[in-house]
This record gives sequence, C-alpha cells and structure tokens, in this order.
Amino acid sequence: MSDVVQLTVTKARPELWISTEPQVVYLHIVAKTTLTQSPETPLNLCLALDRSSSMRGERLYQVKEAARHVVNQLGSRDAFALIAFNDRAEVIVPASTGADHTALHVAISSLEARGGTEMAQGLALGLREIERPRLAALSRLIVLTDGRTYGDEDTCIELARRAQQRGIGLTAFGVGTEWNEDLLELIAADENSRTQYITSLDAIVPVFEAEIKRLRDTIARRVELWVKTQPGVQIGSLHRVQPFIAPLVPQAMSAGHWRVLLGEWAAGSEQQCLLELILPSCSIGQQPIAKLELRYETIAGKPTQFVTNVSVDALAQEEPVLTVDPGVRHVLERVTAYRLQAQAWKAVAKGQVAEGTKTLQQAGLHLFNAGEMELAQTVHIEAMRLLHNGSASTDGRKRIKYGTRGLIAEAKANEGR
Amino acid sequence: MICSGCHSQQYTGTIFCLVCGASCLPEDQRRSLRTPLRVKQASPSAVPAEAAIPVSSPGRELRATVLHNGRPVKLPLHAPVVIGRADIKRASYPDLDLTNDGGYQAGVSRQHARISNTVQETYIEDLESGNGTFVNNQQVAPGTLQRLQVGDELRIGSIVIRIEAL
Repeated sequence: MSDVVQLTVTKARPELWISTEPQVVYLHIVAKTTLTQSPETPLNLCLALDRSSSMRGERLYQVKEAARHVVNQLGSRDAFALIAFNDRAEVIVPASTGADHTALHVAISSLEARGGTEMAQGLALGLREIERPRLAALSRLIVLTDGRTYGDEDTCIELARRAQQRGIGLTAFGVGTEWNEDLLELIAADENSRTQYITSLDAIVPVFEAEIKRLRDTIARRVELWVKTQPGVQIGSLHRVQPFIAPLVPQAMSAGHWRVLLGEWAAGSEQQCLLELILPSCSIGQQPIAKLELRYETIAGKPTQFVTNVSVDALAQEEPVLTVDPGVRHVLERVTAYRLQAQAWKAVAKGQVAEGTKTLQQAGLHLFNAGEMELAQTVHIEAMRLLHNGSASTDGRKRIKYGTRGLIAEAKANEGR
Repeated sequence: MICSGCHSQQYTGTIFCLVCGASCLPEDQRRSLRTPLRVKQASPSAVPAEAAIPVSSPGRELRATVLHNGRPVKLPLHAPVVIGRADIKRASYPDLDLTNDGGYQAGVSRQHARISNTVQETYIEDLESGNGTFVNNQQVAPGTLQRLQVGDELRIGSIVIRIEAL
C-alpha cells in the first residue's frame, strides 16, 4: 500500500562544492498520494462561535448560515456540538450523534449578538463538549472570532495545547480586522491545527464548507517526516510549504536522527517541505547527505503505519554546476517572503520601524519574483504606511501574515465559487 | 561568503541571505534592494530650484532600472523627464509612467517628480507629490533640486528606481 505514496526530493543545485568550509544544501521535499478515504471516518465536531456585540448584523447572519451548512453535511455517525461565547460561554447544542437537523437549525437561529469577547471560556467549554462522545472519530474544534480577547490569552494557548495533546485538532478563523492574529497563530501552531483569515463576509460560508470537506477528505494522520543526516550534517531550517507555509520544529530522536510532525493529510493535497541542511567540509566525489522517511497512519479501516523513504546524495566538484532549479527557487522565494514579513513585524514591535520597513520591502521583492503580484502590492502599501505613519494597518498586517502563509489564496478560491 | 546586502557571513551556497533576505545569486545582484547605497555629501548636491536653469542637452539619456520587477528604463534627457502615473481624465502623461509597475498601489502621484539637466549636472525635484521623493533614502526637500549620480536610488512612493547611466 505504501506505493500509493510517492516521496520525491529536489535539490536547489545539482552539485556540491569541494570545500573545507561548511555549505548549505536546499532540499524541496514533496509527498504525493493516490490514497482515497473509504469508508468515511465519522467526525466529532464542535463549533465555538463568537457572539459578541461586534458580530451583530451581516457577520452573525453569515456565521449562522455557515453553521447551518455544517449541520446539513452531518451524517448519522457524526457527533456535533455548538458553543457560543461572549463575556461568558454557553452550550447551545450539547455533543451528540445523529442529531435532528431541524432542531439544530432552530438552535442556531437562536444566537444573538451581545457583550464582549472572552475566547478562553468558549475554548474551555468546547473542549469539554468535544471530549464527551467516546467515538473513533476525527475530532475538531472550530473557533470563529472577530474580536480581541483581553487578559485570557495564556489560558487560550494552554487550552489549545491540552486539546492538541489529546489528538483534537483546532481550526481558528478570524473575521473582520480586530481579532488578534498573533494569538490565533499561537493556538493553531500545532501540526494538526490551522488558522485562516476570512477576508470578506461572503467567504464565511464557503470557508466553513471547505473546512468540513478537508476534514472529510482526511486520509492519514500522524504524518511524520524523519530525517537521518550523515555525520556532521546539521539542519539549518525546516519549513512546511504545502498545505501552507509555516516553520517546523525537528525533534532530535538520537544523534543525526530527527522527527518532524506534519499532522493530518487530506486527499488530493501534497505534503511539501523545504529543508536547509548545513554540510561540513566536502571532498571530491559522490557525497551521501541524508535519508528521508515519511511515516503515516491511514484512517480508513484498522490504523496501520506505513513508511516510504528516499536517500539524498550529490556529486562534489571543483567547479560545480550552479544553476538553481526554478521550482525550488519559487518555493524558496515564498518561504523567504514569509520569513522576512515575520521578521519585519518583530522589528516593528521592538520600535525598529526603519528596519521593519526595509525588511518588509525585501519581502515584497520576493513576492514580486514569485509572481504574487497582489500580495506584493499589499506589502508595498503597508511598507509605505510604516514609513510614513510608523505603523501598518490592522487589515494589511493580517493580509500579509496570512497571505504569505498561502491561506488567503485558498479563501479567495472559495470566494470565487 | 559575504552577503552583498547586509555584509553578514553566509554559508557557501546560500541563495537568499538568512539575515536580510537579499539574493546571493550573481545574476540577481543588479536587482537587489540591499546593495550598499552610495552615500554622498549633502552640501553641494541640494540647491534651490531657482538656482539651476534646465537646459537642453541633446544626446544625453537616462538609463535606470525599476528594482522590484527589473524593468529597464531608457529616456532621452534633452528635455525634463516627468515621473508619475498616466491618467487620461486628468491629462497626466508623464515621460516615465509607473502605472504598470504597481504605481497606484505604491503611492505614486500623477506628476510625482521631475528630472532635469543643466550644462553639467542632472537634478531631480519633487512635484509636491503625496508621498514624497527620496534619493538614497533622503527626502528631496520641496522646492529644491537634488543632484543625481549614477548608482543613486530614487524612491517614488514605494517604488525604487536605480540610476544606471546619465
């Protein structure tokens, strides 16, 4: 069955330098699968929705519409719970399987917007509800917020970690411009979680639909990349590239043996990573670099672990071929843009506005080179705002953060449907 | 190897500097935003606008590069060159039109800046643009002419243009 997963590795440059100095080697790792899920794994879903006063009007209307769409997609084996939160949280629908769709629609319609935002209460109650059904299901807590929660950020992060350790994935949606993107990024930093910026009200329903589809399409979980490096070879950095850009943290299992958690895998998507390895001195001839392994557990049927592996080596030459693979360069441009924008916001937070502006402009340059024209222009505008006003717009900052991760494109594709 | 943008030490084979993000590929060096700027003495280069009289200089031309997309620009300097954004409704027809370089989003005014020649020197002046004109990161004061030299980097809104030849 492992032949349904293909693991390929492309080096940025085909050859190495003969050198006594360390050198960097970039590897673009792509895992594709033809696995499809059957039979369907049940879902254990909990929606925790912000109903603070700022949600009033069209925003809450669209969120309720989205919740109704989610309900309509539930099968008899799926579990569902609904939590609404403002200053306090309330269980609107307790977790149960095979619920009556009409009753759920009525419950959703009862939501009204008022009060402030205290997300931790919503998360805590959501976590309690999602743990009630004892099902062999894919558990997911979907949180949507439009506001900035104050004073309970650490509790939110703690609750998210607790959920993730118990195998409950978390999806955090932000809508509007007031919510705290740094917090949503932190609570969704785990490999089986994700965060997305819903840029327009029309996109709320399609984004929820896409999320349910993605969960339904989950074919494997506990996906892990194992990197076994040759003696002396170090990992410089490692980023996930697909489904979205994010830094990954390799865990040292033994000397030169690293494990990287990649979370769940949806059918039709690719697992892509960019690995930078630092090689020590290199002598002439074919050099082994690393061995890569992809491990995953299928969801359908009895959980079984599969392994696919590939060895990476390269020829060291006095005058190596220096052409950079255009595909790897494209990936590298996008990862660099992501890294630079993160660096720019850090500099701005420290009050180093000039440095932040320069770094953001550099991020814009990489986006232009990667063909991300619209995002590059957003970056230009915000760099100019920084230069003139000393701060970026809250919307622009979110668009750049989420756009460089590659998650705005996904939202836009959904908007276009 | 040393990054040409921030002068930090980088590993051999680095493609984009880990510190400043500048490209370390030889073919990209000409497009890097981080190439060290030639810092000039401010005193003689900025002169009041009325002190320099633009003259016709047949044969001279301006060659420059729009850095973010690498677009080469070549314009005759026999008459002043206006940099801006074309807008037919407002009868704006600049000699160097930055519309297709993302000029609107980058905050370029319709009539943003003007480059003109005297007998020996080339100058730039800001045409009361909304977001200012900068030469090597220094704003061109309103009502003054700033002398230009090869290698200077002009910032028009947030678009950076490097002067390659005058």
